[in-house]
Amino acid sequence: MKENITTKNRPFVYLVAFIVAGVVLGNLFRSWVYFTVTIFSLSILVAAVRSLPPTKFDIDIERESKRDGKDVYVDDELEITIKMENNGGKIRYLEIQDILPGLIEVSDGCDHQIIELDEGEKTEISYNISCPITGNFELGPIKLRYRDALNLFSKEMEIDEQMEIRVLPRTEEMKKIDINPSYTKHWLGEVKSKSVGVGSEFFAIREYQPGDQIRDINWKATARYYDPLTNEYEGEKSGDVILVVDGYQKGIVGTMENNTMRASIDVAASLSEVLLSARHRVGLIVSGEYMNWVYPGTGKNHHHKIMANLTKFESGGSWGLEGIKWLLEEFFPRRSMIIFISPLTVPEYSETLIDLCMREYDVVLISPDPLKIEKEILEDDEYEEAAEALSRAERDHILDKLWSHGTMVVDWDPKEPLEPTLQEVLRYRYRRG
Amino acid sequence: MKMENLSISLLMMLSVGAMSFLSPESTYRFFPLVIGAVSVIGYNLRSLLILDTGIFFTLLSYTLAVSRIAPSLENILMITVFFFLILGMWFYARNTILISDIVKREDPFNGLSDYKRSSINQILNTLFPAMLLSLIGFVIVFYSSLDMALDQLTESLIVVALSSAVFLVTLSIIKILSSHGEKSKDGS
Repeated sequence: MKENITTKNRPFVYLVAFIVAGVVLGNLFRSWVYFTVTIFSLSILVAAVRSLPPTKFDIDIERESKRDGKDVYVDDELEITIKMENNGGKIRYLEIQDILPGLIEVSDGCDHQIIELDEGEKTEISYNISCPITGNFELGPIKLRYRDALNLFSKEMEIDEQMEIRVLPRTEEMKKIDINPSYTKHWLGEVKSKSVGVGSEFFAIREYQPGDQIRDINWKATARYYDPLTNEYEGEKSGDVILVVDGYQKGIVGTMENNTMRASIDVAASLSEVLLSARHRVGLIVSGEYMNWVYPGTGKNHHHKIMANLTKFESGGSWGLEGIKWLLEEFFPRRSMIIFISPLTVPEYSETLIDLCMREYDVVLISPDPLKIEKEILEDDEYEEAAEALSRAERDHILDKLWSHGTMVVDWDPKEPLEPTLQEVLRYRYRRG
Repeated sequence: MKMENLSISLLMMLSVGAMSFLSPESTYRFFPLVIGAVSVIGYNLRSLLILDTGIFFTLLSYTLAVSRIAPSLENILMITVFFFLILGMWFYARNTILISDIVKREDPFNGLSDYKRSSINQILNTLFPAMLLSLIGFVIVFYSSLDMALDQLTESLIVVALSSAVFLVTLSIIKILSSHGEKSKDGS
């Protein structure tokens, strides 16, 4: 605990000034009235000495959150409790303030309160916090301030009680989405491979061979042909999917809370959940202030790893897509599905995406529409329809070009859920073959 | 909250108005009313500096307005009541501003309503003993100086001696307060 010096506030200074002024003016003008001011002020100071701050505070303070982990999703509430125990004398006025980072909002209760603590009293204050953006945040320190009733003296203390919380991206539940890479690998998954393998769908019957499992024997067919026959199943495989999130600072459109990068992070979080539950190996490349990547993997721990990378993701940098292309070619498995999530505000990106398509990558572009975000945040009088039409035409041209070169393009309005748009595009793609 | 602001402002204006109208006729008579209005504005603007300075000069101007009145028990009582009335309102108004700075919205669990109630008691608990202390002092001074015919030199000497005593007491209080818990501590 850091205890600051006892400060004398302005009323204290003014009372002392009254004493001095009373004596000076009383002597100068030879009037008893001025001396009254001196006597009043002096008697107030004498009476106020009783409520001086304690020389030493002995308070145990502890901050707790109701959840075991300190993870919270964007806009979700987390209850924080500050527990206090006064081991010293009675404190009549104690102002307590939990210092929160600027972006953290108090949604319920209050992080700044005034309490009265009796000797040995235990008390707690609770409040709920929420955060509109992803990131790692540190709560604390806790500030305490003692004041007397007349506010003549105050004493401040700082308690180094800190807590880290991680605000994870919002995920959209996408139950109906069946997004699968065109090229599958050997490991078990949910993509029908149109060849014999390990799976659950019946494929054909063949003669029994030593080593076949008893449960695979087709007993009806065996009885009919007097020869042991075994069921064969359609192999279900999975593939590699790499999520690439574009956080290039100059390409971001929108406000702090509502922008194309936040939308991209939410999409990446939702898709990683969907793809991992479909038993695909999922990798991640985030290009922002730093270029971070997660090698494809599966399982819950891998999902946590992806979420952690998305959480600490910050916009910035000037990496460009060429750097990502190099990374993909050097370190990531070939013939992976690449889901590139970008507002595509940098026109050069389209050329790199076309180039990736040429190199047998299965490229999907999910593009949060920057024009829709811009329209949402701008006032009616600031918005120019002609400019929008021009930008729209330019964007449509780039997206058409990407379609024609084999990129599956999902032009998405971030205000709407992604699932219906993505489903529509996937249906269209499968129809086209 | 608005009702509270209105009633405090109204009470302050009434008090400074009474101070002005109950003062004897002089050039400075309406000074407390005008300067008091400034402190009311400061209170409504939630500016502690304007409020504090306004109150400081209101009380000084009041002493200027009544500086020529005769030293009678009634007059002492009147000055004491006005002085402590204004001081009481000043401390309460300051508390209200500080609380409004702390929490922007009312929350049943932030303990502010309890604190507001107890703060009035605490202000009165400090101001009443102070008032009593000064009244006792006045009564002693007033009755001990009755029918005393002092020559100019003795009177001057007594005034200088008393002033020095007041300064000494003030300085000792400041010294006591300054030495109170002024060591900063790290760790533990």
